[in-house]
Amino acid sequence: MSPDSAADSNTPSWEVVPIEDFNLPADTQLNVARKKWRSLRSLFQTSQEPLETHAKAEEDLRALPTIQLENLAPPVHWGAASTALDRFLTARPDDGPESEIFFLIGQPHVDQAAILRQWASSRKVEVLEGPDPAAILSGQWNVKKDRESAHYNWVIPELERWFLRHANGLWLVRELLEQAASGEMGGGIIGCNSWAWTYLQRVWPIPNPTALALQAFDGRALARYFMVSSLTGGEKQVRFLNARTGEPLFSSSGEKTGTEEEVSRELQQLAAHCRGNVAIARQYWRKRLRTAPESEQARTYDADAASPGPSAGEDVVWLAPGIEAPVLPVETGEDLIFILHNLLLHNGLSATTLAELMPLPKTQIVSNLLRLQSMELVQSSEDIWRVSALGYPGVREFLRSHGYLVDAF
Amino acid sequence: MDTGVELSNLFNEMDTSSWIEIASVVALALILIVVSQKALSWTANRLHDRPRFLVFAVIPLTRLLILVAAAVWIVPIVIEPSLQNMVALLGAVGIAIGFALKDYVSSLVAGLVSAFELPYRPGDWVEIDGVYGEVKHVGTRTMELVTPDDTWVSIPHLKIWNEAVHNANNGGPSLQCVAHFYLQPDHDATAVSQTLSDVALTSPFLEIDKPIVVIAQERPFGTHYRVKAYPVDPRQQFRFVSDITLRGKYALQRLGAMASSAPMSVSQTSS
Repeated sequence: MSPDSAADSNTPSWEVVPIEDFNLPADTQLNVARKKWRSLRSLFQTSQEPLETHAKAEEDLRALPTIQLENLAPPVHWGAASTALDRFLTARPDDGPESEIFFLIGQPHVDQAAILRQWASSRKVEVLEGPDPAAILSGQWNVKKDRESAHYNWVIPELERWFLRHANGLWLVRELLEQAASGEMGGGIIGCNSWAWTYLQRVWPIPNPTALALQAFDGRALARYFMVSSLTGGEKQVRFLNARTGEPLFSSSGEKTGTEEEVSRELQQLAAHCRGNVAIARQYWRKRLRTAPESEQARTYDADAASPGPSAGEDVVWLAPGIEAPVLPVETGEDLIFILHNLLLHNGLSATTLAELMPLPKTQIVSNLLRLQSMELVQSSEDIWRVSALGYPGVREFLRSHGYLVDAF
Repeated sequence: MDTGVELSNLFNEMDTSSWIEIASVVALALILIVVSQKALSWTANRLHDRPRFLVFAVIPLTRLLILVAAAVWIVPIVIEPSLQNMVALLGAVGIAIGFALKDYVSSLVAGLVSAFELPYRPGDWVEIDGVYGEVKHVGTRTMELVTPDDTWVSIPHLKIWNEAVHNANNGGPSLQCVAHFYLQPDHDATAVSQTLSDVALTSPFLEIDKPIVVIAQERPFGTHYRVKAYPVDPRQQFRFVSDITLRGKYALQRLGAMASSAPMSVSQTSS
């Protein structure tokens, strides 16, 4: 059973909603206080706060092997989100103009491009890809015109690939949005990264846009997602235990072993920290999963008779109390800030393109990127640099507190 | 002779414990002032955006409160604070000040006024008497600022009585910057205006929620464009203007708009 189909069999976690209905998961009071304390502590650079007492000491636990991690928390399949988008569009009354444009806004690491490509493939509509950065800067690109007027007859998966934050990099997106908004292109769906969306509102304010987004995953939705995900690869069933309290979180069998409140408290904090972003939450979840040596596991269950021990064919996985997420030092220079901001606005860039956008030579940009990589704040894949999933919450908060433009999600 | 006797009668008899108490209060006030000023400055410099300026604004007020508290403590030790005594004392002190310490005391009083009227606070970018820079410290008698050339300038508070104080950000993070472009008259003004606006809009320094304004003005030598926009942090103003200027020059060259040569002065023209 795939996680998508399993999720569909339960209450669906995947939901596409107008951005006005997007609800950030609420954090617990305790976690809000903790965050404020951490923020104050980072300001005064004092030593680390003392560790809490945990049911399972961190040093007794080991990171899971990669293959087991892949089984327990496999990459997010965006098919369910594509289905949710289709569900939303189908349920919508068909009384709008034929040239109506929808925007699908995705938070960083939420692959709205994959969602739209899958949707376009299932509906057999044309996908319009953005040009190379060099083509934008040189002005060598034409937006296709005179499209057939029909509902959703094209899809642009990544609007962030149609502009650059450069004096010569905005003309194309303006032309595209002008044609789309005026109805010249017919009806279609445009996918856009949430940061680019916020920036483009200032570049070419779209009149009354119909913007959609994946609804944020709260603690309960995350629990359901992780539970279903863990069913995919392993032969054994898995019992997830909280290393802080020793209490079961939930079992991959679907049996509710922890109370609703316990499940939600741990995962509610994770959901709030990740701003309801399932892709980022999955990375944190993977980072926190631990295993104990078999002898240790047996001893744990002997000591705690009230807690039902693992049955044959059942694995026990511990959820570590928390990880130190990578954060930017308070005195981070503006060069690093500009790099991170540009990476977020464009949902990833090559070092060569970054050099076109920033008042810095490429050598210095590469040096700064490597520095950020060593801090686990950015990652590179196929020459494209992106803000890492683990670093994103800290980077966003840093940019917000320093007065830079941030997304609304 | 009688005046001397009356004046000496104003003061309480001072014993050793009184002197120790006064010295202790003065020492405590000085320590509190130094510690609070340094701690608040240090904290403000680690903050950003509006909280930074709020903490900066508290610095002179804190010092004033400590000084007032110390004075309220010390004065009753020295004199009996009746109306008659105060009038006599202030009269004598006023004569001394009027002749010898007029400017010094005027600066002290202006310092008190500036703590309430806030014509400048640490973190503000001000121009006083032709000196422009960031206010680093607002003291009892003077304020200190650092110019863009990294020169410390100490300016007595009494300047606020009769000099204009130009405050560019007025205790907030918004500081408007202006970049100038001079072009030969033969160009597409609409395209130039849009390009210059985009140059500002794409600057990484830009405070994007503030307006960008491009103003064009015809001059004898060509067209003078001014791009007005706000950086995220006032401390970025010079780098922001440099960024707009450099990228603006490049964008205008691509557009084919030629820069105007420097306007000749009247004397150069006549010669």
